[in-house]
Amino acid sequence: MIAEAGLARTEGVRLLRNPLVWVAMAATANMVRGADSSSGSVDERYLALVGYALVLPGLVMVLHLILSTLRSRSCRSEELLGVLPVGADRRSVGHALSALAAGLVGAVATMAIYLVMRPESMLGRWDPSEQSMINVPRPNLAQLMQGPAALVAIGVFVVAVVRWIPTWLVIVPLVFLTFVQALFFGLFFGVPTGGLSWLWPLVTGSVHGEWFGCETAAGCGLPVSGFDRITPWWHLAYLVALCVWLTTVAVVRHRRDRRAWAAFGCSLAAVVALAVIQVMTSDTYTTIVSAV
Amino acid sequence: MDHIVHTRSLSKRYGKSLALASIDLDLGTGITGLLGPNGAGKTTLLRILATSLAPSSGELRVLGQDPGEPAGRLEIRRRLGYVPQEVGLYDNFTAFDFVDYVAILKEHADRSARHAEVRRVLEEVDLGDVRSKKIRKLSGGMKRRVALAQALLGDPTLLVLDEPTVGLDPEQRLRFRQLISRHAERRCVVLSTHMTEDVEALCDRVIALDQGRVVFDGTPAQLAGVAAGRVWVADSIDAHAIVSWRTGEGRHRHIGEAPAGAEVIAPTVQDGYLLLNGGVPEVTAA
Repeated sequence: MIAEAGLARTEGVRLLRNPLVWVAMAATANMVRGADSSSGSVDERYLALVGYALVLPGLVMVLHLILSTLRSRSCRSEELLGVLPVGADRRSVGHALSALAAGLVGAVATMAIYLVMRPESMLGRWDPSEQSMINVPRPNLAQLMQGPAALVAIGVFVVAVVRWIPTWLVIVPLVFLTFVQALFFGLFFGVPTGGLSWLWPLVTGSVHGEWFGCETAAGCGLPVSGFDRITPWWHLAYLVALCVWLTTVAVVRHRRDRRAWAAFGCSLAAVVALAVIQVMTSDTYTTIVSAV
Repeated sequence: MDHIVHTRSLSKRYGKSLALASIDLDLGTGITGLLGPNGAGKTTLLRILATSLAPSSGELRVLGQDPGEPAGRLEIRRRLGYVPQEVGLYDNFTAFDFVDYVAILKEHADRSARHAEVRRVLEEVDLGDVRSKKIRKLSGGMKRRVALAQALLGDPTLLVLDEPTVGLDPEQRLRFRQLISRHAERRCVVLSTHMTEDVEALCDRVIALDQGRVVFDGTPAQLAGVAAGRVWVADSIDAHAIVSWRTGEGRHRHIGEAPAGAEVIAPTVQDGYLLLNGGVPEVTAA
């Protein structure tokens, strides 16, 4: 694994040196500053903290990872690299590990956002119905780590995709998926998080159901009644398992021995188990909140 | 004696076309040059030796290992330096970064030792001063030397070079010869080239291929000897010649069956090679 780690380090440093990443970060910082100003709403602050602020730099980093994974092919270096001791399978691991640099950028950005906002235990109060307010809590550690972890998972996902479909055109469906993720599973605070939403990398964690404390018919049946702060821990574990499984997907493109398939199978089993656990946990939580 | 490269009846087919036909080779230390026209099978043979390509049939051992076995292949790759015909350098990398990248993939784990090794090979190919330059800004000859530098990483036992002198100016070619001859004192170097002067100047052994077959295997002097008594000069073009050209001195140099009384001169490797390609069926040096 030393060579893979060395390759990941080199590729990671190249990602961090990409000026476009920092341009995207500057644009994000500007947006977040707007969210943090007096005109910024509580939902914008919440979404920024749970990872949605990282969508733009994430897209740039994903593009970088696509191009770096494709580099040996686009530069016609495969014949040379193909006879080196570290073969294409191990290079896939190195490229997948280099996505950790994207996670690092995400973690630093999230930490910076957190320090700028200095949130209290409550981010503020939000009025989903313009009649009654709900408290929006400060995201817990698992929620704060969701953005960086999602960046790593998406990074490893593109490495796996590009290993199987070696063309930069994979950016097109990826941009589409990003919009689906952002529009239907985030950005709009009021969109509730159903159980299956947890299968996406970024989740708002807002719970749908009867609003806690509902007393009058007018205030009941709100789209958001609370925030799931338990499932995010399972979601983090799910994202980690997803990263491992996607790495094995990239590896089996070039290596199909028993060990590679065993890693593929075990990690897939972990992904499925954690996916089920997080969906069940989230459903249980929703029920509890609704029952209260 | 253990040979660094050992082949018996080595063949390679691409569909119905036969790229290599029953090649028998035993190569030890020293420099072996492969000569042959385009499509003769030189690159195919080099790719097989470099484990880039698997043979269709026959026996092959490189550095005592069987490249058909994953463990053997890995062991060969750890002791191999390879410059393919088309290297595919990373234009956005500096010379240092690219060679360092290859060094990582050659399992040079310790970072400071690796960087020292990268600096060493870049100095060796005379690129120390431009190591921080982006590859896209380097000349064609410099790029070729970057390719050579990565092959020299780790002092490989077997160096496989596919047309390494293409794009090098005369001075760079001399430096290349100096570098490779120094390296070959204790290593095996196999190179393919169209430049017979390089073969003459560098190689201990020359193998000429044509249509996938070995048509000559011997020393450069023996290859030149193929043309002994068959190269002559005259003031005008001689109809007996297979090939002839006007020299800078205004005389005509001829290769073929010299007529009686012709002014026969000492042949070169190029003369012997031209005769091989000119219809001499198969020549094997004693």
